[in-house]
Amino acid sequence: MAAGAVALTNVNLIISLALSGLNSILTLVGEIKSQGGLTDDQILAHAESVTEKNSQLYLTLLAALANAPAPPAAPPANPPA
Amino acid sequence: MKQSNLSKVAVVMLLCFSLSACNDAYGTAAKGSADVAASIGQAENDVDQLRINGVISASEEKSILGYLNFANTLNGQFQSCAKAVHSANRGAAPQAYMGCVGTFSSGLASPSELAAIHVSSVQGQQRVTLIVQSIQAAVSGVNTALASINAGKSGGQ
Repeated sequence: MAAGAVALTNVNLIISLALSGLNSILTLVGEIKSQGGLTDDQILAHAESVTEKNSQLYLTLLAALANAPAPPAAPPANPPA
Repeated sequence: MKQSNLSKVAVVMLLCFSLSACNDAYGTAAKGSADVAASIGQAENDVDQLRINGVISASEEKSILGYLNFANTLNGQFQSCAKAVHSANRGAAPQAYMGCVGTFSSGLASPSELAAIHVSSVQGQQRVTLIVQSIQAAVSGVNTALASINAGKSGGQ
């Protein structure tokens, strides 16, 4: 694949990720409106809550990894045409 | 390289737009941290899927999850820093919060931590690099938004 095509794919993926982030903020704004307005302190508390959940997810994934079966071999870097 | 820079600009611009609704530095820091936290959670799940799909190995996933957990810890420290700045001075200038972001950014770029995100598969490396760059860009976006508020306050008064 041409380098330009790979780069373009990356641009699309990054924009997709950015839109996902934008969407999460818009969702948060929606929550603020639906709940009659969250204070900045409440938004920070929400961030702390998600951060704590991320820590728990990390531990959960590590535990799952310890019991995971051996993965299939990764595809070769340059598969034959 | 130009495409890569364009990608970063696109991410930062979108985040700036999304954060520009906030005109107070503390609120921007809080919303930015919430967004980064959401991104990290998504990244953890994405990396797990890469391993399940055979794109990366279990040991590589463990290393990358370690980096993401490190980023998550940095985000927690950023929240504490922002809270401390706000508690000390409710009308603190954006620069005070930018100091917290700076610590976050430099931590994410630590060479010893970045060494953990190398994987053997080319496809896997591309995906992992994008995931990490998206988190770094989100943190940069918070800094840009705070700088924008700072410029607005400086210019408007």
